[in-house]
Amino acid sequence: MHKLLVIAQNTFREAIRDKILYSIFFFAFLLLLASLALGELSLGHHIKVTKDLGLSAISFFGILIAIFTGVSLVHKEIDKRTLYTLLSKPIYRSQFVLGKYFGMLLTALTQLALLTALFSLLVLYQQKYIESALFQAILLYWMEIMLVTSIALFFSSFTTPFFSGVFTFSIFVIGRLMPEIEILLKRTTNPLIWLLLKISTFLPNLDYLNIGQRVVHQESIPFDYMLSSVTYTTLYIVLFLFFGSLLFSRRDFI
Amino acid sequence: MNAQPPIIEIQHLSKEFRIGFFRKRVRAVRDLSLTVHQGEIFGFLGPNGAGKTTTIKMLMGLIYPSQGQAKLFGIPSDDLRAKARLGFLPEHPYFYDYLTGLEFLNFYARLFGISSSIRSVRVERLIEQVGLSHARKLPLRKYSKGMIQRIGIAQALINDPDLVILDEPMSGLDPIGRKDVRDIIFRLRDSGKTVFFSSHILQDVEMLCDRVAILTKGQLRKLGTLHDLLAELSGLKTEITFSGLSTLDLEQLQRLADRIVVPGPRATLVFPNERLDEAVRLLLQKGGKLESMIPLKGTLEDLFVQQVHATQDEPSPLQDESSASPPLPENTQPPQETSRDA
Repeated sequence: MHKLLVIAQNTFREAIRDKILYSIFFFAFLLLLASLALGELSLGHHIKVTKDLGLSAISFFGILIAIFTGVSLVHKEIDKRTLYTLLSKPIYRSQFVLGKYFGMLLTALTQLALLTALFSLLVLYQQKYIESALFQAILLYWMEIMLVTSIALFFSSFTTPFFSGVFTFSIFVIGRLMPEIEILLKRTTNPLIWLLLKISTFLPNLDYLNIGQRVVHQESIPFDYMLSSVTYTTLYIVLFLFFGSLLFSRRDFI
Repeated sequence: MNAQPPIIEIQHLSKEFRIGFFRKRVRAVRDLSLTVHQGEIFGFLGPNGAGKTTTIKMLMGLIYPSQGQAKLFGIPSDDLRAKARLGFLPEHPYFYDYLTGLEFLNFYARLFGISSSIRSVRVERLIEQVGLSHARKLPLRKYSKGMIQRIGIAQALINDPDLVILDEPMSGLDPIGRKDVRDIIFRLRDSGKTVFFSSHILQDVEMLCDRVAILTKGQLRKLGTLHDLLAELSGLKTEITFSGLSTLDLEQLQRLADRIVVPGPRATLVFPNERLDEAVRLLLQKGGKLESMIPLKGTLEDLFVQQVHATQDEPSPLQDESSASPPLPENTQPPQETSRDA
């Protein structure tokens, strides 16, 4: 556990010393501020616009950071051959994979915590109070980011950053479109399309985690829903990390 | 037999890769067996592509062997207990360039679970030992190639290892840097550590090593003490000094020589012994005066070149070997190890 934390800390240090992440963060920051201005322009609905745009910004930039760090950081260790020295030390390869994962999460969640704090201030400024449902939505976005990071890490344990990025993004899009896929599955008559859609349904359904719209429209989210969504996501995360570690452990580093 | 316990035991180690679209079979290392004992400085030599780095990576658990096994301290080399007693410097090392020298060494020290009090003393001592005290707070991206090599050696020693494996440790170093590395290696040996290193710089190998192994095309060709291996070469060449030949006759004689040590009317030439009779006959026939004949002692370079030339007609490991392997020349049988005590 100690070694895992040492690797996680080093990954975090690497990420926060990377300028690209700061530019992503800067754009997210700008978008949040823009939500305030756009809210002012929309007659009567300004708080809804702020909440909607704010939650979308947190989700979008979180996913961007997750994919970016997830596909690049492990590959960088292999490409720059820093991995050779690291794996000659008394650590298991699975400790390396999990250490990288937790380091990436720490990076993404630190940035998201800052964005969430700013978002909360904006909402407080506009409506003088903040409803807990907003934090429920943010919590599920965080879960989604943790899941997408594990998917990116899974792919980067055996393929190039380009393909890892493409595959991870595809799974993210399919996951978000799961309700539409389920409708299509019932309607299609083509067996090949049916088979492809059926296979897609085994991928994580990210629509469960996308409750931003419902929260903005004052819908209350029951505790059971939150619990089952968190459990569902955690199981997928464990699965992707397990297979990612397994594939990484069997790899030759030529 | 060596009385010291074996630190590295490699038994029938082979590695095959599958490369390209058609998954061609490439054998990088074939049936390699060797043992390194405690307190030895062992040189692992071979031309580029001989399989040295692949072997070292198998010892480090970075590549899994296709056949055979490697043990360190009597346990499988990928066991964490073995790695805890090991220091490693990879070839052309790249490190986390966003870390400072101090942060970099502290990071590896923490992976070994070294307590913070010991860690701070050891990190400072190592930084000083490799001559980087002035750059300890600089990020590694500002280090020169030689400084990276030095900090790499420091990280290989961070756990006070019993065995140090260095892949091309002299690469990128200036003469002073090479001397510093040699001094570190001698100090390690003096404190009872075992050093296994690969190098292209044969002069350093000759100065440092107790025993050497020469690998070409993935196979072990020579293994033994430097003294015994070079003794095999002695008497293979003879240096002749003579005078009294015309320019035309001298040119004819030079064609038989291996190299010219001193040119001119009083010349010194080196002849391989198989052409020695012919050369002396020609010299006397043309009325030359033989002044001296000295049998030459072989150098490690001669041995290295001899081994590389002897195997140059064999297929390269990077060629397709999916068909049956060609029969090996007589001199490619697994070599008998020359005992240190012999």
